Amino acid sequence: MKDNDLIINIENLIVHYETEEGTVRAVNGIDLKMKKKRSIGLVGETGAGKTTTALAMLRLIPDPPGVIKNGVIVLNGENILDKSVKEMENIRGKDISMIFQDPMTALNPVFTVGEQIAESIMLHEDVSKKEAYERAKELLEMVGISGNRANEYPHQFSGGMRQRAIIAIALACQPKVLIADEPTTALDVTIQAQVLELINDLMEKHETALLMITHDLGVVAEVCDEVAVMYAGRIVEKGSLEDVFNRTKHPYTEGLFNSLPNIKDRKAKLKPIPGLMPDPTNLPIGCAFSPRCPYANDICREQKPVPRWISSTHMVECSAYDDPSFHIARREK
Amino acid sequence: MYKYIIKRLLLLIPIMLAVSFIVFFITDLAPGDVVDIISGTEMSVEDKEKLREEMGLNDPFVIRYFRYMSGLVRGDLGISLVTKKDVFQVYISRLPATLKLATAGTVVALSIAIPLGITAAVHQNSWRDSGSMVLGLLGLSIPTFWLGLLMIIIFSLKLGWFPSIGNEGLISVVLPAITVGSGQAALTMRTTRSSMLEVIRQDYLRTARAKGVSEKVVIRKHALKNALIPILTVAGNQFGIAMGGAVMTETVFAWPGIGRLIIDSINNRDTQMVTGAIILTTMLSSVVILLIDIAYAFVDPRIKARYTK
Repeated sequence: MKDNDLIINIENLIVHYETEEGTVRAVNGIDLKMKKKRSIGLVGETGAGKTTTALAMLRLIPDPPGVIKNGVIVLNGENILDKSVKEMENIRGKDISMIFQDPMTALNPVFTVGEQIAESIMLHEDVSKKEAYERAKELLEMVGISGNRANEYPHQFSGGMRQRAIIAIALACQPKVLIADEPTTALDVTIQAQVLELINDLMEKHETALLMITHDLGVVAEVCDEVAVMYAGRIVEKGSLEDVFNRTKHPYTEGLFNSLPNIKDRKAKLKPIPGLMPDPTNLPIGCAFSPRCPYANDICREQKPVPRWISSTHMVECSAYDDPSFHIARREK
Repeated sequence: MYKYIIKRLLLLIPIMLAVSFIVFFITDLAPGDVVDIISGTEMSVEDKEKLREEMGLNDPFVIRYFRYMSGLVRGDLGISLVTKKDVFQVYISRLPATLKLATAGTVVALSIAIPLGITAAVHQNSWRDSGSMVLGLLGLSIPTFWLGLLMIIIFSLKLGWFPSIGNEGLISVVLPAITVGSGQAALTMRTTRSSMLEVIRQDYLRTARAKGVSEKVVIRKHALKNALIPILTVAGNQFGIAMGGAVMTETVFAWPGIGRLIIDSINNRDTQMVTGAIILTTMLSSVVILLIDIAYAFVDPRIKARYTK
């Protein structure tokens, strides 16, 4: 991988929420690289730290209680954690944009959809209000909504249309990086596919890098080139789509696949991962997944695992592989 | 929208009927009558009784009420029992002073309440929040007349910056407006704070921030417009009430407004004046409240959609 292909480079990012009840260790030292025009899926259960990672990339972690304790987030060769408030405002929406999970609440109810799209353009480009509004109409057309609905308010739009409008806002200034935080979770299944297709098309057209946050492995398979699996604030496995899907290494990733329904064997029961995500204020000493892991041994429970590169693209963080003969039950394809 | 406004205006008719009856009935219950007041001590009991007969005060309540109402439906509020002046004319002559005080008071209230309320919400649980809340509590609990007198002592008598009484020019409205406004500000501020607190954690503010909108604009534009409805309701109702005259403040500052007109008329048992003034004030307040309801539609498109249904 050439370094000039890199658009985002996150190193050892640590984010805590310091509350009165204790320190919530949301993100515990993650490394993530995003390449230009490529899409990466960030997968994990609710509470794994996916959204916190994304918000850190925009420096939008609610503070207090959120604090970025450590790490660098390099965008275009510059660490955005060193940027001033004003500089950050210029980066948001222009270099990095974000689509949020719930389209029903992500649009401001008292401004028209057109105004909300045009605002983004006016913030980052030197255009008149009228020009910005015309551009907003074009953007609506781009996401498949008639431009003359720009003067309508969010409550006049359906959920799918709202999410399209939010995509139009996020792409208004052609950002280099788009973060999509579970963009389809709140939508009807029939609309989900449409929205994913739209995101896919627009990524290719605008040559934007995409960070797709999801707990849905189907979405990842549909959209992403690479996958990073997150658990309790760590990336436990990452690699190309083929690496993670076909040559799965981490027991947690295996658990995620096992909990998917099997279309070939409809009678088979779902196999959920037993137990719950550990309390982020009180993480286990060793591997955070060890209490739920069917393969866990004493070393797993006592020592933090370290990243292990299986190939130049495939990383797994699991101490069980210290034993060369170890393999998980899921077969390689 | 027009249909809605017409419906609301028609609703004023039963309200007016009810108010006129209640006011007429209550003033009738008050002991003594206008003849006792205007006659003084020299007039004999027989002469007084003759006067009452002439003025129709001895007629039964129902007769007097219908006589009054037959004038009212023709738009005639009658003449003052004391000064013999037209009730409507007197009311109109007092209105500008009350309008001036109510407007100035609301301006003072809003310019204190909204910035402080927003600051309190944005910095929830900080010293700024508690500071604003303490100020609000003071505003609510300090009696109007005491604050008015205190300000007259300091700013009129000691420093000589403002006149202590009367309504002459803009400068004379400053002290009464602060007196009226500080009481109003307290409630409006608490409303602003709680309304902003509800809005401030909404997802759409995060969307705005993610677009690159500065924090200042996020709060003043995106959040405030959403928080405005309850603020508008409280401030508008207070303005509507102030239109009926700020009795305490008008008394302390000898302000020639509606409040004092009503108080003086009650003291004189001038039932015509009292009833007329209260009916007109009710109408005025109702119109103000209707205007606020219409203003909702311009703040929140979802309410507008409901009106047009």
